[in-house]
Amino acid sequence: MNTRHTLPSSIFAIFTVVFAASVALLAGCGAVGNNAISAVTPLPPTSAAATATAQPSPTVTAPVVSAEALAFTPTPTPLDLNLPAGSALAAARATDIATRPTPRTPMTFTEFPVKLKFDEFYEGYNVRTGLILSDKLLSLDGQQVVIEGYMAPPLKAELDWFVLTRIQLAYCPFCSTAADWPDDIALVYLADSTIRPTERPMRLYGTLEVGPSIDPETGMLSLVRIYADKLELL
Amino acid sequence: MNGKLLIGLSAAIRGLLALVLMVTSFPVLPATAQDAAPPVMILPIDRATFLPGAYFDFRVEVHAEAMPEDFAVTINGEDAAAFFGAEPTAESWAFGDEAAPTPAQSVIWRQVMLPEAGLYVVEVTAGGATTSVNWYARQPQAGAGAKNVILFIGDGMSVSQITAARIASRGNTQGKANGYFAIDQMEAIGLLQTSSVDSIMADSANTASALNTGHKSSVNALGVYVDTSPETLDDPRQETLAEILKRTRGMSIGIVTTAGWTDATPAAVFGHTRRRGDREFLAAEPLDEGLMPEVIMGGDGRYMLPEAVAGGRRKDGRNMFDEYEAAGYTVVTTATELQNAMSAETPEKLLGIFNSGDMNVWLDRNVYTDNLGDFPDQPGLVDMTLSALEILGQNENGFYLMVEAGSIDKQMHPLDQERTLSDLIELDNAVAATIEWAAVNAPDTLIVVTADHGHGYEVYGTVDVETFNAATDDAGKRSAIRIYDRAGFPGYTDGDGDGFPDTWDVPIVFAGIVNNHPDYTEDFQVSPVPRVPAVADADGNYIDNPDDDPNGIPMSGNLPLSSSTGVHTLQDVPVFAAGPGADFFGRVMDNTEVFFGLAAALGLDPLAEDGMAASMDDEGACAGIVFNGRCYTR
Repeated sequence: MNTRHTLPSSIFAIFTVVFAASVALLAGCGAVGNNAISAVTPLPPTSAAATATAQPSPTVTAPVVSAEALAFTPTPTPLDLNLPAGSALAAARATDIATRPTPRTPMTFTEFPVKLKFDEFYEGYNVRTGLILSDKLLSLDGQQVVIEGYMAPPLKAELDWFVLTRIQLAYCPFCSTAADWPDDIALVYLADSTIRPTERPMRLYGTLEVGPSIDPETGMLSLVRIYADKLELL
Repeated sequence: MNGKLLIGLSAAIRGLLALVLMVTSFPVLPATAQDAAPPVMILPIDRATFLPGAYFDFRVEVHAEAMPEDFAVTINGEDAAAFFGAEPTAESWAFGDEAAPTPAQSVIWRQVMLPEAGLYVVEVTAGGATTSVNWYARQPQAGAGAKNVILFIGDGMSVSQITAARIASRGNTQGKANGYFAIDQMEAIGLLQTSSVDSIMADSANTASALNTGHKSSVNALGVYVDTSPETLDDPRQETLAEILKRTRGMSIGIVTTAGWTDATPAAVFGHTRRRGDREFLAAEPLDEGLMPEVIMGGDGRYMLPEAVAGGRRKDGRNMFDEYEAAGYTVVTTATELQNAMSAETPEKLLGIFNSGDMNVWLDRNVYTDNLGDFPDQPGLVDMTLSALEILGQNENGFYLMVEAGSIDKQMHPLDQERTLSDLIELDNAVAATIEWAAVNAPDTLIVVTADHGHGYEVYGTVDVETFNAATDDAGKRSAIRIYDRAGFPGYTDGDGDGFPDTWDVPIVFAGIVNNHPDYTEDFQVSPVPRVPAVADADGNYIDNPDDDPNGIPMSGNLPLSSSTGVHTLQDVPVFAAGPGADFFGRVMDNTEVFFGLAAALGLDPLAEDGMAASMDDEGACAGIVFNGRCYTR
């Protein structure tokens, strides 16, 4: 059978598959891969976001795309399970974009990385147009952030990318179908390292990318991505 | 040979015959011996019941590597292709265990019908054996004078919930009710059995489907008989009441729910899938297939938006809001917008989507409003129902409206007594408002109120809250539970007369409990946030949620460890009816009969020019005996 058809067609669908696999994988959880893991350190103080002065994004030079246009400009992000370690990151970075969203009221930050929490991703839901991305999230596109969360039950034993969730998904009582998966998730790419599945909470440092990104081959979609430089298990 | 022995022998022969029939009609095991006849599956099932002229798909499966050479299908002895005037489509697939899949050969006739009332014997010959099922087409009944029909479904509503809600809402003094619900006062009450093709148990999909099609289905399936093919959208279809009424009589169709509108119960009005989770498909089906219900109201915005929009879930990239709007629907997303749309010129078609998922429950919309999150302005069931009636009432051909109180079920699953009972009271308020509307605007309206399946909730006494909360151990808490004469009366009052207790937070509350549950704790008191009684541990087993009712009595689970909440129960569910044709419902019957009761009230005859059954006194209208205006056939 063609690999293309065996892969779930979106990031939401992926979890269903992942859940089935998780029971087996969780047996080995807690054991963690190599050098990206450092000792637990306290979180940096919250950046004085709204009051700070402007600071240009250090890495992003792509053309500016308005927040409204985000919905219609997905760009490719390869998410092939069989990619060798590191190549998903490289491919995603190479194609990640294009979209540099425009916040309604841009926020600026002085201290990096900026602490970002899942409940800061969105600031409401318009039934007709969907979740409203927060100014903080949009302003942090291409910036260094630090965020805490859990690894969604993974697809394979060694990962260089995974989905970060606000709560441990095994503990999400109504997350039994793909339809019910939370909206506040982020796709994480690890730099030059892999990690084994873990159910421990983690803290990630890395570059944030905002905007829908669809792999034309697998059809998987992410809205928020983090290119992680450092990962700490808590 | 004595008589006893004769009886014994004939019983044994009957048993043998029954065994043979079971084996041939419901194949499970693939044939092993080379010369054994392959298993055969016939859909619609044995004893399926139809209205003549109602569409259905007819599938025959033979579980073999190749279709046997002697394969033949007859109906009343006539070749099926000749009988239907159409050749079937041949299909094949494999199913079951991936390591050792079972091959299936199939033929299917799409969109066929039975031409007149009577018995139809379907025989399938394959591999030297013949398998047979009987179908019955009912005599269409002359109408009872109903032009419109309204079906209220209290999802998961059980008699014991109604009893508790009535006492909380209306009160009880010295054993006598201080008032009754609207549903209590309806003309007829009956009981429905809810079992499924594949199980004695049921879910909202196959039960709501049975109410809407007159056919049984399987758990998780809507508007289809479930075949063995892996594809979820190719199963043989059953035409729904809404589809027949729109097709043959040009009636308007309305769907109102407090759940998401693509959830199982509302989707049963129009949906055809063996997997209720095909929400993306269901959100587009009424538009793509042309049913175009005049009213759609409920939640589920997420299935209207493409996934590239944050919060959207559609993988096909379609924006269904835009598509419905382009098809002539007025689109509203808040209670205020609904009110504005209705106070302008009455819309011809309305799409009201008020939440990304299920709508919030009455208790959260009206009391614990912090729980509304991003959706502070959602209409209630009464306002949605009355808006629907105003729109649907514009059609001179009449209408069929389905109204679901979805969260009676959705709150009973997590064992939330107060959210369940509040939504049941809200359902009754919607029924009362509908009766009031019909009395003035359309007395020729049949109103039916029922449930799709039950839940195992019961009140067995009352609880002294202060004593319960002060107790430091299990024995102390249990001593606060008052039973028999000590139970007395609960403290709920309705000072403002809206039908809802002014507060559920009273000194004496119901000792109400659900009979099946995971490990959890119960304190019997209203929860300021919707309940989550159990959470999964690292192995995926559900254990007590320490944050839910932390001061409650520990209840040892009696469900599989994989169950996060309570499940549906087997009990017959009540059906209430008022208006022309209501008398049909005053009996104990299968849930599929609701379809035929609604059809009879309307005098539906899909084969008649105007979809209207002839008077039974007309020459040839009744194939049997006419008595008191009804046609009795064998």
